[in-house]
Amino acid sequence: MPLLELRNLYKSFGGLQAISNVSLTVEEGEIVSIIGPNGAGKSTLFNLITGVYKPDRGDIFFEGQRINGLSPDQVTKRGIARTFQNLRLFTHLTVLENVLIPQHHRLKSGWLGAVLRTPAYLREEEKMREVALEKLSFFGPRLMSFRLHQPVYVLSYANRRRTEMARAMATGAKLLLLDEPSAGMNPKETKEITQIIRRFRDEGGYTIVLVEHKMNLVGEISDRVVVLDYGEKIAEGNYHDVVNDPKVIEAYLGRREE
Amino acid sequence: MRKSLLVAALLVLGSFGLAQVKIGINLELSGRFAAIGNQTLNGIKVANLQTPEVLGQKVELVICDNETSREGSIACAQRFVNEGVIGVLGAISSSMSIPAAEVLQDAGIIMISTSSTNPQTTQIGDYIFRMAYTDDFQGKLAAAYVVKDLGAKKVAIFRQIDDDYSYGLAGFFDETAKKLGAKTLVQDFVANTVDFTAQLNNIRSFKPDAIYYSGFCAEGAPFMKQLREQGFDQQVVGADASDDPQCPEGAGAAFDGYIFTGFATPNLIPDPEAKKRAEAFKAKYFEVFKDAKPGDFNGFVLAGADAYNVLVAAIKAAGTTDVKAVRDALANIEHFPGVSGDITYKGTDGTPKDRTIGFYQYKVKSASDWTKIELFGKSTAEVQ
Amino acid sequence: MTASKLASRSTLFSLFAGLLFVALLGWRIASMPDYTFARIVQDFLNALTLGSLYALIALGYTMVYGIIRLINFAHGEIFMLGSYFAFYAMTLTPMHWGLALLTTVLLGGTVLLVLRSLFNLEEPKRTFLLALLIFGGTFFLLAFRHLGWIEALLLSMLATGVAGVLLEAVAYRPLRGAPRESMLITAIAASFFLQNMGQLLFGPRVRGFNAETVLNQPRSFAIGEETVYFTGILIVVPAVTAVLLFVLNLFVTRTRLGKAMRATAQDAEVAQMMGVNVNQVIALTFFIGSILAAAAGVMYSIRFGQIHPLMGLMPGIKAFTAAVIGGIGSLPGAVLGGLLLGFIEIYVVSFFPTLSAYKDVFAFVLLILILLFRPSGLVGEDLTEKV
Repeated sequence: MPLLELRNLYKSFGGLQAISNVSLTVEEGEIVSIIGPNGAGKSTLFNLITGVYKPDRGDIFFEGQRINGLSPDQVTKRGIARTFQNLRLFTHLTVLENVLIPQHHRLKSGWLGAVLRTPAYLREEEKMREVALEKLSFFGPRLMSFRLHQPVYVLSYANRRRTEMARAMATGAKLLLLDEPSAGMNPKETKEITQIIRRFRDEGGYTIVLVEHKMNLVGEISDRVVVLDYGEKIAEGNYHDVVNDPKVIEAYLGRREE
Repeated sequence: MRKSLLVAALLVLGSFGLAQVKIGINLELSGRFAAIGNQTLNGIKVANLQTPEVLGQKVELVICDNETSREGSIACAQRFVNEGVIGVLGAISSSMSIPAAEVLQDAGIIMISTSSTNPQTTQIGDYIFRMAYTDDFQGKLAAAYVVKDLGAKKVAIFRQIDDDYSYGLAGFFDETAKKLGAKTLVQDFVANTVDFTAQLNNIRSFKPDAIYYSGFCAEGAPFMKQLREQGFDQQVVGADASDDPQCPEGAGAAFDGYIFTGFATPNLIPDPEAKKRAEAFKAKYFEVFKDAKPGDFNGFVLAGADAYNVLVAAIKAAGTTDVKAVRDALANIEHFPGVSGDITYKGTDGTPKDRTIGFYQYKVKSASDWTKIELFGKSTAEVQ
Repeated sequence: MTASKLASRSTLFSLFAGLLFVALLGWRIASMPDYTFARIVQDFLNALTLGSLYALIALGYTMVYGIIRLINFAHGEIFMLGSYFAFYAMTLTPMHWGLALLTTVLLGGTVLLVLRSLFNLEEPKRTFLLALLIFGGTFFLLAFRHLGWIEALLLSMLATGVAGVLLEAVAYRPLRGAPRESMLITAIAASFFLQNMGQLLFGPRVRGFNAETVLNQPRSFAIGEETVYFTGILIVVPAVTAVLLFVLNLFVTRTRLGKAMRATAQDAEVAQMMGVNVNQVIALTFFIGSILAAAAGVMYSIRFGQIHPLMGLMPGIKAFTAAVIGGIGSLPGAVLGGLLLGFIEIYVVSFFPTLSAYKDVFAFVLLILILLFRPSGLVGEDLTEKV
């Protein structure tokens, strides 16, 4: 059973058909990249999967269960988390707080435990901290020492991207949707994030779907590549095949002329 | 279609068969002056029970709550113009009475304010009457009492500047006090003020011998409370707006010893015949309102009753419900035996001649345990 | 924090305005011979109390705005409800046991249901214990004790907190996706509704609020040859406010729900995607804001001695103004704005006695100045800062 399955999804906004008959399966442990010209509907697809939008037609299955129609926090509880193209961190909270908050929904102890500071409560707090540090450790020590308690708005752009990815992992998700994870990074940082994403899958056991524009990144880590154009899937396969597909070339070249 | 015809027919029939004399009532039944407004209404109701008919027709009271606001009073007045009442009883305060008077004078409808004391009210026109004395008398009497009888050389005056009554009365008091040789310091506040720390600070170095409060109880209660809390123990003298249970109930023992002028209660009416009538009315009042507390009965109740009585008497004297005729009859009333005293409108601008102003004092143990003591009465005829 | 912030024009201007203000003040004091040190202390006590009350109410406005970008115009009425709950708690107790039972069932039941949903108390054992506590405690208090001001204050805070949650559930939650104008109109409507309900249920008359004499007994102490007068309430208000602020700060910075609240205030959609139950957080925000307003209401009534159904109007508007002056959405801003407003009201009138009748206007003059020169408020974020 595939981890994620999209069946014949349709979504329009007013007169604009943003997603048109898109079907896709993602197996557990895969890294799938979605590429396509700007405006092709890639972020919309992520919004559909995470429950921010409801599809007009079609279904989304996660671990065999239908999830279209669930609210975003319910989708998160099922095990899907995402990062954002334009970064949407809790800018005035610290790095640590950003990575602790997504863990709350899995907790048992309530306010009574907090007020009385029961051992169970304290244990959970400690565990959450461990989890937070574990996720941040993917990025080396850079976010783990003094930066832990800094508010996010003092961080560099690259560090913010890393924090957001750690936050997504902290939700306890199995499936990560990464929306342009290397945007704004220089080639050195891009190379590094490419390795880290692979480690997410290899060491962390995550299944990953990512939206990207940087072809070298896509080529290096994708098991499969899916191409969207004007809301439709126009190609799918391994990187080499897709990149040489004449339809794909036309989509990019044709778009550039406009 | 048939339904509306039926309704229309009923209405037409109704207006013939159930011929009634309509009297409008424009009172402050909610809001800051609600207590006085309701007391006045009770007086009208008892008078209406005693005299339910005139010229063979039933008297219908149309009650409108002006909610202690000028807009509400104007709205009530407009409503009565539309409904074609003969006359309107109320309002109790000058601030609400003056705008209503302008509307009613324009439309040629009689208005008898039960307790407006600002001289301006009856000057608006010849259809506007009042049941009370005017503030030039009240202010003069109070000033004479404070300066001569209490021997105060410095008086702090607290007035509500956005109220016609309070503002005017304070002016009359101030004028007389100064004439009698006292020094005065005036402090202002507005409606709904609860915090008097600023004003109290301002009079601290003035060290007044006495304090005159010309406002209402909604502000008077916090005022007295803070006055006493801040260490001021001077005698405070107030006016008829303090004749309101909201004062002692609001601030409790802070009002103990507070002296104020007000509408005359039966004991203070000098004329023995009038006193008898007042006592009889008081008895009737407590018969009708069995659960009433002693503090619920005061001069405002009598004023309300007399406003009703005098209007009904004018209708009877005119022999018709034609408003102009009634107005003329009303303006010519002489020595009408009212329960608040003798009422004469002849030769006045609508303010009765020779009204009695009573002096009272609160004796307060707590907010739920208080009484009003009658000190003495003075007639407006005695005042120069 | 950063050099660019310090040098920003609006900060410089505020600094300049502040210095000018202080200079004017000094000149004015010098020209007033009877303005003794005792007066300054007297005014300080009054200002601290007034400012604390404004701060407590302003926090409710700012918290709700921070979470759902709504100005809760009915917050002044929540303040009023707080006063009335305490009033009835003190005047109606001890109750006849039948009435106490009825009240316990109705009120206690509502409180229990609301608390359960606010704090995730699905566990049956915990719920049962809590129910026992609430029902038992309430019945005992209502039937057997004549409640004093402290008990009335605590009960009122709880009841009003619940009322705030109900207000949100009934008036605002159904409009969650609607345009902001709809929410605004509903808030105004809720305000009118509660005012009129208050007049209907409680009677339109102004009533005296007479608390324990220990709080209202006139006291004084001497400074040099002058005396400073005060009553117990002038000590109680700042003390209670300080405690509440301390607890609030702990809650918001240290607890999970507090963190979730801050996250939701910054980006509600993403918070939801990170597993935060946004509905719960919003309800909790109303709960906390209403608790603070109730405390302010009770203390306000004790200080000024009266209650009436429309008493929330002026303090509500002023506290809202204070929140905007401090920076709407910022908790420290609300406290700063409230205190500032209290001090300005007391001290400006002290310096310019002829203005005493107009002191309500100062709040709004200040508001206009702030909106002209520093619209994000004194403590609010510089609106031009990039994310």
